[in-house]
Amino acid sequence: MLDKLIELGIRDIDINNIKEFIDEDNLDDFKQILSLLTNINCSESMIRNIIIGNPFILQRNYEDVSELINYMISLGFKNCNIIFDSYPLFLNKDKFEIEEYIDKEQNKNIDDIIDEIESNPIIIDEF
Amino acid sequence: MEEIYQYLIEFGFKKFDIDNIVNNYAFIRYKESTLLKKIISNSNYLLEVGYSKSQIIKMVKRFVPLYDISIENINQKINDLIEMGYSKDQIKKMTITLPQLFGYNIVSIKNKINDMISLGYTEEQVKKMTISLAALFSFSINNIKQKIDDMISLGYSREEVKKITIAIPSIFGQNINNIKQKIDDLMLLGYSEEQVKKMTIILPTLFSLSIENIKRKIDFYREIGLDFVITDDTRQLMQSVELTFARYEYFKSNNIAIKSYRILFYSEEKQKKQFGVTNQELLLKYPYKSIEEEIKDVR
Repeated sequence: MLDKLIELGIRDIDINNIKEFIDEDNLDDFKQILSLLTNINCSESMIRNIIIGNPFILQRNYEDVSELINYMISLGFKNCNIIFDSYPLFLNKDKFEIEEYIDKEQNKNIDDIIDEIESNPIIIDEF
Repeated sequence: MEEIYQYLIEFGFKKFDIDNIVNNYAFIRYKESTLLKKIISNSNYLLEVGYSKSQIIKMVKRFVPLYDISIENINQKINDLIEMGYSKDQIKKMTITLPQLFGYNIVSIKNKINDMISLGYTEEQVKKMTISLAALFSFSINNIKQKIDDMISLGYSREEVKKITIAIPSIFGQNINNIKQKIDDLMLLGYSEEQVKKMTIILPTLFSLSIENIKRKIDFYREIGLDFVITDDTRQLMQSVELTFARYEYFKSNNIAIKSYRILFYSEEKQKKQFGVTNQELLLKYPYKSIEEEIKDVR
């Protein structure tokens, strides 16, 4: 996993800051997550930002991240890459948390909810 | 051991992981047949309550004694957490990242929540924080207090630390030197300590962006003469530089005067209504590259 992080262009100082999150056992999942992020048009710089800003991604299950992204796309999100780059911690969400947010905002239509999240992804975590 | 290996291989574990399971101290006292029964019954129970095979594998790799906890105890823990106000999905999320939670005593879980409340958080806030960072349950209260004190020593008030940690509980999992490093990096970009403090209080998620990302934004805002946005309307730093650039180029190319910088930060709906273009169209038409990236491409 360390090799992969270096290959992605993450600086030594940043690797040092996130080293406690490196989970060699999770390498296969991590590689699949990277492919997924590339498929939704995350640039290399976005991917670096996501990893440095949210090192928990190194330990996430591919299946859970894939479920989250597929669900967001199925709802009509078109710029997931922009959301994750703006707020890397968004990638720690599970599908059910998006569902809960939508339920909470039931008086709004889904397009408005998507627009709000795309404009200000932190909204999903605000009290 | 053959049957155990066969079952776990079929389940999806790798041989190396199985070696770790069968050699774990928790299972030394068991006969092979008893261990196999425990593994099968716990796996089946976890599948039944909604975990997938890959989630169970991850949980067991993180906490091998999960196979040593009785189904009754797992079930009781789930019910206790539901009684405390967590939903089944939230419990699943927390236990995938912290399977040790199944091994914690419910009294100590409740105590941890009460300790956090005594530090000034509401029960609702603690709940949200633990869903986002289940590892909070594994931190000692002294460790949490120390992290708060460390943040105070960096110049934040207790209330400000509370605001920051509610917004990004993951900061409790970060080394204080990393936090200090982020502040220093921001200061190296030309901001005073006071300005950095103000910016991170307004937008705590600055702590969850790489300095490369922040620098790209700051460089671009400076280039177009909007550097005041960074200190005066820090929340806009949330928006990806790719989108701000694409909108800026669109306005420039279409001779649309940027009378207020806010036009660059419209919601997509408002932008569509006013200018008839979507973010996706703009992003495709005006891809952003920083000066460094352009130089790199030329090389």
